[in-house]
Amino acid sequence: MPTDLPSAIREALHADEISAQHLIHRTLREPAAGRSVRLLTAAAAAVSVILVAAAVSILLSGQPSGRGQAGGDPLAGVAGYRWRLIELIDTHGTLSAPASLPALIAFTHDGHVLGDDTVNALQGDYQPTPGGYTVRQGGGTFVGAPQGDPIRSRIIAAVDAMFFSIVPNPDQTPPALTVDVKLTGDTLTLRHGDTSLTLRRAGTQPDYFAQPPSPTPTTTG
Amino acid sequence: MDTGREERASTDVRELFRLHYLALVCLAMRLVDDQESAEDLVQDVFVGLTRRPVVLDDPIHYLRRAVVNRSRSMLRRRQIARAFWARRQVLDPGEPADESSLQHAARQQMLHAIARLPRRQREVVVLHYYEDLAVTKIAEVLNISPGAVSSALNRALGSLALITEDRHAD
Repeated sequence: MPTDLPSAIREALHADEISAQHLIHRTLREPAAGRSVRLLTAAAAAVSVILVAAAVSILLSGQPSGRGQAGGDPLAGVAGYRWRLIELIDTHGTLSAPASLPALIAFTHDGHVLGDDTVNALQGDYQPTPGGYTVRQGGGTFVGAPQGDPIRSRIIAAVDAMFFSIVPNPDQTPPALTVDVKLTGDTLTLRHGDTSLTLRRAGTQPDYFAQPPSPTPTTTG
Repeated sequence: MDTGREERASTDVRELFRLHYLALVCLAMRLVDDQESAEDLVQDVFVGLTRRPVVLDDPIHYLRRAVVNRSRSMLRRRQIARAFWARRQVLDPGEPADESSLQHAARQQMLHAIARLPRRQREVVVLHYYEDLAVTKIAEVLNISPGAVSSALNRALGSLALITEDRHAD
């Protein structure tokens, strides 16, 4: 390793060069047909949902929609439950989550979103928005992931994407992350950026700071 | 755009891909740490060009800029992955047989230090010391002033100098 800094930087950056033989993809990928159409449709649907929810809210109460109000709260029916990952869409395409890699996301009524990306435990505070929620102070155990398992890696990256946003400087406060929510029956769709998760209802989730059960009152007479 | 121009543009994109794909993947690897992500984002750049063909006066300049922009988006999506496992994937490919473990460790230490720099500083370091671009050219790629490039470079060198000083102090 050279002793002067620029040379040391150059040498480190130029080490471990790959050659054409080591490329994973050697030809230009064909554009995914219809992706932009799907995105436009999804965007239009999201806008429609927001507009309808806002209109109903204004018509019924004349006040902004609040948590728990029918039609105005995208988290109504979501909070208080845990959700199991069924399918994800990321920049690689669509991936069905295998049963052997059970990833979970849960929402408590007292404002916490919890996650299990199959390796790390994740946690954040959510705040409802008209189209979903924002996450602040997302964190996790950051244990890591087994190498050489691309399916697990994609699941981890996709689930983590619902909890974290980039922090260029570790000393900076992470920005809030916005997640779009769509609930159809027992199927929940979460979307942030290019990542979309489809999850199925998998049980109830108690509040994070759930009170211990109070003693059964006894009747005296 | 008429069909003939579309076909020519598509051919041009494939030619650009043939000429620059490998070099851009190598650049992207220095920005996003792992080869799979690097190839993915460079593919996205070319697919984007196929969808919206544009006349490029300086294709490599455009492509570098697009790669840097897409690497930012990718890092934004997987900040945590970058922090704890991606950089181990490719930047630690195993020690070559003819190299001392000390040299290898020193290089890894330097790469990790570069990966931990603030985003702009990392981009400037990679473009300057890997792509060998001058300050003015880096300013064009990053769409910032040459002064901002110099400032970021100086701060990065200051941080990275600590690495070599620590090593020599050991």
